[in-house]
Amino acid sequence: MSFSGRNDAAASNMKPIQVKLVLLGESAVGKSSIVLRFVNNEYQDNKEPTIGAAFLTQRCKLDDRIIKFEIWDTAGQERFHSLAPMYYRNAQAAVIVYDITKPASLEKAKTWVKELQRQANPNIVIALVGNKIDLANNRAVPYEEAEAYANENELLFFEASAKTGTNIIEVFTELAKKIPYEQILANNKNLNSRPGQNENGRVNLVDQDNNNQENGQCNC
Amino acid sequence: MEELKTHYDYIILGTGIQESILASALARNNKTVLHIDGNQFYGGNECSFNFSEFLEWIMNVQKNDNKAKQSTTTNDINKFYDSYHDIDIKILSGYDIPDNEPEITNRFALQNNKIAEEFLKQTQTSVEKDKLALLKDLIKDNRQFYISLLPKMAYSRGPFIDLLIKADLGNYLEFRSMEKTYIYNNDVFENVPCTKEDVFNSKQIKVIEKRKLMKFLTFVMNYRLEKESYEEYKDKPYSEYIKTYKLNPELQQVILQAINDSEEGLEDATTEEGLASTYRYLKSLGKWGNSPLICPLYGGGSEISQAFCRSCAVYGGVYMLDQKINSLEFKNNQYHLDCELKFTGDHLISSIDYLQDQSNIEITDYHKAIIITDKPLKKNIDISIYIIPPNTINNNKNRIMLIQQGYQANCCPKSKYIIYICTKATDTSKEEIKNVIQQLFEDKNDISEKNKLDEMEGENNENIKKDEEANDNNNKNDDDDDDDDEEEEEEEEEEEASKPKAYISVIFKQSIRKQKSLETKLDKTTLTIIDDMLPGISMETPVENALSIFRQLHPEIEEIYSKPQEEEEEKEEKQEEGQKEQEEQITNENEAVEEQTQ
Repeated sequence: MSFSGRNDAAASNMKPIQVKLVLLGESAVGKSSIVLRFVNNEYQDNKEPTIGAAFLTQRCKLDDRIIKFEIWDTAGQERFHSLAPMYYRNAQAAVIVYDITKPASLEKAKTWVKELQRQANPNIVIALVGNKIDLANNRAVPYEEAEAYANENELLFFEASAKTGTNIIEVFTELAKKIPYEQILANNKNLNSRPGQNENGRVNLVDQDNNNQENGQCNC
Repeated sequence: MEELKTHYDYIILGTGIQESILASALARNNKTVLHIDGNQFYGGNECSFNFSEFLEWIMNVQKNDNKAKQSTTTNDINKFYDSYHDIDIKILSGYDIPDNEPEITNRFALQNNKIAEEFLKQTQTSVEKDKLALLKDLIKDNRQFYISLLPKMAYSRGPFIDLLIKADLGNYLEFRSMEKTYIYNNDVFENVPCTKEDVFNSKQIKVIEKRKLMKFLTFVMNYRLEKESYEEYKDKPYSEYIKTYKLNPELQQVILQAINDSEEGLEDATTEEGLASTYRYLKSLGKWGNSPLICPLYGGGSEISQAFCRSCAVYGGVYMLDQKINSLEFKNNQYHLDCELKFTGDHLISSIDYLQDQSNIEITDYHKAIIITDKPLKKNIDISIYIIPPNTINNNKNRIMLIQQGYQANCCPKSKYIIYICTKATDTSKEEIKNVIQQLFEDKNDISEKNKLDEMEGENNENIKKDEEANDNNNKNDDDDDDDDEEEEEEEEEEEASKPKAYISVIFKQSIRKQKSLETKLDKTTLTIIDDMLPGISMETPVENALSIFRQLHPEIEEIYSKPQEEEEEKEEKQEEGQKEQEEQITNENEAVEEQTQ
């Protein structure tokens, strides 16, 4: 089975659906590496802590929809538990990362799940990702243990490796499948439509200044 | 976990808007920044709260105030709560108590209900059932509330918007145009005309007055080119200069009270100050809709802080909230800070909240109120400003400003509104705010009336009509220019029929602190103290203040946000390139998964 030309044409004419995805997890578990692998298909060893990228975007095609992930990195603000409420707001998806060689990082991941339940939109789709399976020799968190926790809390669960690329695209594809688009579209139609349309007096600074096509905030 | 630096170029205390702008600007120019707040939340005195946090804030202010009265001192350096005093809480009475409460299992909901109960215990003489039911109803939508301690808007043309665009923060912040400004006159709020359209469409202004007003507004737009025409009034009161345009007293009031962003109106301003202020307002018209001001969504100030702080973090700034500061010393040319961890810094930028020696501070008090209602002050109007000039409600001496924000500002659940009241504190200001609340809002839910309404709806409608007729007669005098606005008129009269209910109204005094003299600001070149923001409507002054501090600290940097943006563009391009390839992969991936499932 392959995507027919008709579908492609239909999809390219469609406005992408923007999905805000937030990353969470202890420092140095590989949050940014996972995103870099997903977005640019690249990996750097000993990557410096995240600097300079406010967020990255990546489009995916899913069935007849184009989804544009707007991926927010923590920018280190998770370290002293100082993430701003702005970070969680209107996030439709979250990737919570732990390191399979560090049991403490799974415990930390569990506190992020709780934090999302407290702060985030109740329909948020969450994936728990055990990173660094390339270091399986040093595994300290059994697959079953993390999986059981994920099932209990209705989270998607993957073990992955940003270094080798294993399972990275799967994480985002499966998330993309579970997002309640009808709800997002309905909300957009309602008050919370993305800026750019300017109806109801909503103002979009980005569009005002740079009208060249894709600029972070798309027109969906 | 990578090692955390212990020494920084800048330690910044407080996450108010000005501190946050500085943090972002410094980090973007490769300075290392440690940014600390003693509170659990971003925004300092510009913070905003959801409903349960708001109740907790009220309780804390009350506790802190009592403590201060007993003159017990705390050893915490953070003096956030010290600038709020004399808090009065009133809760609507007669709220419908539901017959059987649904059972609540969600632990957050349970926790919130507990806060509501605790709140009533602390602030009211007894826990009345109707009030508890009301609070529980409001707290159900806890997180849809963004109640701001310093509601602000921004001119659509001005340094604030310029800065946001340069700093590329447009993606973090959302705005909506302020819809309308009203001025209280003859016991009603009248729409303030400021654009040509407004002036032409206004039925309150006579044709001759329209011409005079247009002449004045057109002049202000070009006033800097026509210095000679106001030269002799330059240092004289603006009010005198305006008289030379022979506008009627109402329009003079509009110019002095409503078409500006100053804290107290322009009654006492010089002509030069006044013209500058009117010009700033007029200049911003027409960029986004019919209003010069745009309102940041989700509670304003705190959002702006968060956006700048995130941009600082993205460039390496380290963030620590909820820090108890044990000690802060200057020795060996460095600042030594002891909080959760120990740090040193070459420079210190500190909100006035954290200033240990408070002896050299000048305080201006403002009386403020925050009210949550069921209806807007004007039908179908959400984000709006209301000016009550002196001598309009019970001979008020002060100019009183109201800001209304509702669902459109993403500050409230649907069909709730927050109204902020603010005036400079004087002997009478608190009383005046109380009078305004009494005049504009209902403080009890009249169940008997509601029943009556249900029973005799038809009759009641007729009563409203009668009222309207009576009012029409009153208004005849103003009506001689246009007559096609009857519909609007009717709407206004309906509003008169029932005022918004004040579910909860909280009156308090806020101290705005400022260092006394410029010299103390510069006594150590490595110390910068940030004064409190004034409660005026717009954001321009604090932004200019922050930028001028930055220029003092780093005169060598010309463009604060120049280089990094280019880098980002590169990144973006690179991303676009990689994107196509990736899309392919994902589609393939999808196919694979689909095949599997089949």
